[in-house]
Amino acid sequence: MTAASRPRAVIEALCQRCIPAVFRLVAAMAMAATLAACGDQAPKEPLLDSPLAIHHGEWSGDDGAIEGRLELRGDCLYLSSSGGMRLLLVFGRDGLEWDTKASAVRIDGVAFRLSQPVRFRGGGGVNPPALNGIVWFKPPAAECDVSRVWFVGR
Amino acid sequence: MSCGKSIGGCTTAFSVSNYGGTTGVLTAAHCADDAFTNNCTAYYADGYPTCWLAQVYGGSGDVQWRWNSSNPAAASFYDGSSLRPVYGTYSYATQQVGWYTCHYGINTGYSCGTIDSKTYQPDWGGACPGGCNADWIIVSGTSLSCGSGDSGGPWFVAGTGYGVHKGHSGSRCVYMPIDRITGMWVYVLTQ
Repeated sequence: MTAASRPRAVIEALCQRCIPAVFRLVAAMAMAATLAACGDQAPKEPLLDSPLAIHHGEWSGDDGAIEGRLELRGDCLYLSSSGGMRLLLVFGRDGLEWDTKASAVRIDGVAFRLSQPVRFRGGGGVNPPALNGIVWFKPPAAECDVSRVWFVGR
Repeated sequence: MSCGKSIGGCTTAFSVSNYGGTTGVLTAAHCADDAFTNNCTAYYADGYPTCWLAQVYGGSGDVQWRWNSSNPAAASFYDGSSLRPVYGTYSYATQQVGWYTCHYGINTGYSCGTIDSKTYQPDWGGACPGGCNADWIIVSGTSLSCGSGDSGGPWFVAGTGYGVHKGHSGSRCVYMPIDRITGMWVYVLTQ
């Protein structure tokens, strides 16, 4: 190897290592840009921003019934029952919507508005143990009183 | 007090007594929005305010009993058309798949079907605290109906008690066999 070719060999040796690294860096930047663009376009899940507690399972199949008024306290939606109890409402996900403008929860398109009398199918209980084993889509906010709950049916 | 009537948003099943002679009525535990509070005014049964006494609410049970101090419970229940006397009960072990059975609820009234399975496992959200066991009875039938408010109501054939209504899965109805009330140390009043 001549003196002239030595620097070229050094450069080649360096580039054998640096070129793949440069390619990886460029590819990573391109992927990050693509993901960022996808994130901007992906539909947001409005239920995650709602005050509703939502589980992953089927809507309650219990055949109890309860009447009262919907009451929003902070990030928690309760039912103030006609019996004088306040119960945290727990919903299924399928067919559920939260209408921020109307302050209403919609179940299969039917709106239940705050402060209006409502009647829900389902079943309730004292917690613990009522919430034991529940798999959450959106758990109750930390501030919610979960001592009494009502699993809403439809 | 008679059973088979409304209690809060639910239905009462059968009259029971503990071994000290206190009588009361059965309904589903998931109907209780006042359990453990000794709130004796929230839940009226047959027009009388009732107080919660005990419940079985877990993988295999969904029942409570309540009482009214001045009105002893009668050994009969309303079946949609008349008061029907109770002569006995059939346990989970006795009841068999294919048997005909009927129920009454304040929403859907009286209807009947046949037992599909004794090993049904309710799996809807909140069905049983901690999850349900595969030992519930599920019934189907073309004229069978159950709905909101029927919980806690009686399942029976003639004067024999079979169970306490829990809920539904599709068009099928689910009940807890009556012998699980022994976890509350009570028995069904019979004539």
